Amino acid sequence: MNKVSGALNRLSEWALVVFLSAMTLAVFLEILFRYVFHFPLFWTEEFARYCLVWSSLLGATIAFKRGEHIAVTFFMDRLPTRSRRVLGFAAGVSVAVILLVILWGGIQLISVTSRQLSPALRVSMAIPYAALPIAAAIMLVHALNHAIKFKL
Amino acid sequence: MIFLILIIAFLFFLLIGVPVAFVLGLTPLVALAFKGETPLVLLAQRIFTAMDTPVLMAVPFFILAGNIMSAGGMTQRLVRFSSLVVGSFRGGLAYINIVISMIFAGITGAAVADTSAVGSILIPAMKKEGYPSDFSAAVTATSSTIGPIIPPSIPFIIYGVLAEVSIASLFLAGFVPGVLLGLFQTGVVWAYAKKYGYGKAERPETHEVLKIIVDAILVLMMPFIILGGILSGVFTPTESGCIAAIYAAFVSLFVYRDVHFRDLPRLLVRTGATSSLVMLVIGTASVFSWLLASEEIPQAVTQTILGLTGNRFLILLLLNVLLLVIGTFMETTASLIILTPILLPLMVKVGVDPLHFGVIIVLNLVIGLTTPPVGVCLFIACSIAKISLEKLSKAIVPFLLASIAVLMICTYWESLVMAVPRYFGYKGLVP
Repeated sequence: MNKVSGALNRLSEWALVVFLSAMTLAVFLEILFRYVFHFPLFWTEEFARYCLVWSSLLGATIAFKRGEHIAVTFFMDRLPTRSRRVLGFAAGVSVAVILLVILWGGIQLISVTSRQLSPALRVSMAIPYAALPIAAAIMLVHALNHAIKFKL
Repeated sequence: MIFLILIIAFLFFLLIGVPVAFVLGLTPLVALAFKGETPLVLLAQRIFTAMDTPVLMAVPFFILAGNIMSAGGMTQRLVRFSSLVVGSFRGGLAYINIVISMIFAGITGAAVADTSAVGSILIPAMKKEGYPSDFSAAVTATSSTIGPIIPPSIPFIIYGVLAEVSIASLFLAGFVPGVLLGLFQTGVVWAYAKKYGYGKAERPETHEVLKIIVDAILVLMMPFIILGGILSGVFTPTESGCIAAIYAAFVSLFVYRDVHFRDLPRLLVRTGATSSLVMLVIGTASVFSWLLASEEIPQAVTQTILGLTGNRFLILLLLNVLLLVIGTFMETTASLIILTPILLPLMVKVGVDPLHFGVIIVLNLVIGLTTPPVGVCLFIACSIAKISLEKLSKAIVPFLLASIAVLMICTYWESLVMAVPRYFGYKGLVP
């Protein structure tokens, strides 16, 4: 499990680098073509937006693995170990529930819209939407790995 | 009933330590389950649509620009430059801390990044020169809250999207409060330096002066490139963020040569992870605020408050207290996304311009970052200075009072805040 989680994380990191660079480049091209060549590109805005969604969700999985998502620990830090364990378990289950919801909702969303084409790029809307269930699945793997490691 | 369930579920998830981004998705889910509805597709779609907003690309861009610049020697360059300007006063390093935060504020738009970038260099330097650790940490934490006030600013971008206010106007409106924060904090430092006789910073040799200026000039140009582009209407905030990131990369890679190509993937990953914290909250919070809207909670809140009092002065005061408390316990982006739709109708009803309200709400939430007992900037400053939160909580009080004074001025002296955006042609609600 640990290996799977680690490999997925490295893969997400590389994909994130690609998406962020592509987004930067696309917006830069947009500026260049509009002001320098006076020939506005029609696809850059949509392309960059989808890169934003993908990189945000992949970034979220990396931040998830690193435990960087902001949480309120003020209350939990002041509890005795036992109740902290119980409530910590409840917190873990809650996170798993919302991730499963996003995973399931995302898959449904893809199946509903897969025949739809995006306005500018004319690609299947399944491509941008897929970021949701994929990111949720990766985070579930990280969460499971974390749970096994610390025997929650 | 739904309102009660929302509040209980929200507090429960938050207190047991579920990350805020997930709390915001879970809470509406619980409320919907109570109503017997489970529109999972809709939930996923709302998260996607909220993130799929072109202006939000500015968030990773400005974070990337800041990350690239701090990976190189930007902070050291700015330390040397600021010591030219304010180093020769008593308490020099403390002033330098504030000035750097103000310049930093013109490059990136996040307080937390500023605390760690400036703090990791200046807190050790201040300790070495004999400043007390708690004072050093307090200056660092407080001055970093200028970051999201002086443009560019991530909270202003988010508010602009939510309230449909021009982001350029919001940026302009941030100038006066940002400079005021800097001046008031300078005042606190001045009083301390006089009372405890802090030393001056090391004065650079005369022959070094030119080199220091030349060395810093490419960094100092950044705020002008970013703001000039937005204000002249040549660039959208997103485009100016992109230019800032590319400029930062170009300068660091080819001119200063203190960042290498092999560092870029690491910086991009860090940028993606950091901006995703905001982006995921934007996604899930939109589900939350959609539920609030469909339950007509903003209208209920407006009516309840107006039923109690119609006095604008009093309502604004209550609002400030409420927002400061919320800003202390809640993450900035999440508070902004949940509270803006709830409070904006009330504000418009009592005649507060949406632009002015943007300044008030962001100021409050950002000051909350340094309010004890919890505040992200406090935690970071504590861990860098290696002091306890209790100690910093005491040392920060005078600075906090200075910030609150600025908040009061900006709340009640509307024409002062609005002067800059109005000069540049902002219309809107005429009082």
